[in-house]
Amino acid sequence: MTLSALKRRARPFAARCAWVVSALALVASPAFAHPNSGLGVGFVSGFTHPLTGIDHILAMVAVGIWGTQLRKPAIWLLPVTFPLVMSFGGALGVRGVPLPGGEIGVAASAAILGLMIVLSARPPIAVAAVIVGSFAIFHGYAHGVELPKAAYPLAYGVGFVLATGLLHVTGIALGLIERWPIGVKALRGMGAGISAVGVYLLLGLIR
Amino acid sequence: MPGVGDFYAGVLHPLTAIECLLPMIALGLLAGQQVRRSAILMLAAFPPGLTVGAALGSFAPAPTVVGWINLGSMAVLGLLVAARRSLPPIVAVALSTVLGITIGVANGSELGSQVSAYRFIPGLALAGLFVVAYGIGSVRALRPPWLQIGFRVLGSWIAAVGILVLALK
Repeated sequence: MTLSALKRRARPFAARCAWVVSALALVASPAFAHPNSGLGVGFVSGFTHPLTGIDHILAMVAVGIWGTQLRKPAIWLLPVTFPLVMSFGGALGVRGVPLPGGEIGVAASAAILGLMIVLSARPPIAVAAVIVGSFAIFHGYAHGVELPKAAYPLAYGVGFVLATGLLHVTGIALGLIERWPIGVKALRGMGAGISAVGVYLLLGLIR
Repeated sequence: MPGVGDFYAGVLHPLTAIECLLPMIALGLLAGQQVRRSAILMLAAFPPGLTVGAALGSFAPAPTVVGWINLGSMAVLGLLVAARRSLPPIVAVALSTVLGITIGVANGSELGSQVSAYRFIPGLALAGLFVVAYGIGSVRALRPPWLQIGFRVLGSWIAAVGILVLALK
């Protein structure tokens, strides 16, 4: 591509970037200004909660990767509906509704979603939605249980919804490498790794 | 907030409270997803709603139902944004006005006696105008489909937060 053509394409993109960056800059500062107050503590504890469990992290990234493999409409349907289903699971956790096998569900989600990636499984969208949705309930439940104890529950909720969403986005961004053949292999390897960790944790829990 | 002028206190108050900021962002995104006429009407209806609400709120402490409505609005507006639902203009304007009033009441009731309402409330209205305008502008300006999906995801996040905190109460 010639330099002038590149510049022509870059200008609207740069303008859009500037818009997004300024919006983020305006919004980001208040929450972090006073990290020791309740708001900051609540947000940080919520944001880090999904990151404390390797099975959480891997499963969320796997949802993103599998979404790109499933193509449309899953690639946008999953990120849009997942937080909502997760919040339902979270609501169950907040209310203290007993959910049998909470942690097992989370480990199993990593194992099974990793397997889906390895196999490049493309079930009908309804089946995929049910699989991902049921795992979303387990993940949301695990976070929701901690919500009432948080210093500032609203900030905690924002934190973990944001962290989970960003992990998805990471997964989707990783999934995009499948346009290259070596990317396809790399994704399979990642899926195998995710599944292996999930199985390992699952065995540890069942014992 | 000591040391800050009353006007700036009005501007900052809704921006520093997540339970007010998130519904406003959701409203802005929803307005951006509507047709131009609805978006402009929603934008125009919001600051007056805020003004009326804040004026009402400054006389009496906010009833607890207002807090519920603000949380519920996070869930409802977030869901509408996620679904990219097109609303009849009347419904859109009604939503905008009612939300303006409830957020206004929530903010206005926190006016201390030292803060001048005449400076606080215009600041509040301006902040509301900016947030909604930013939301509309972002949705309109950022055309690529994946970014439009990104806004729907944002709506989904806002709804998720609203549902979670509602479950807590």
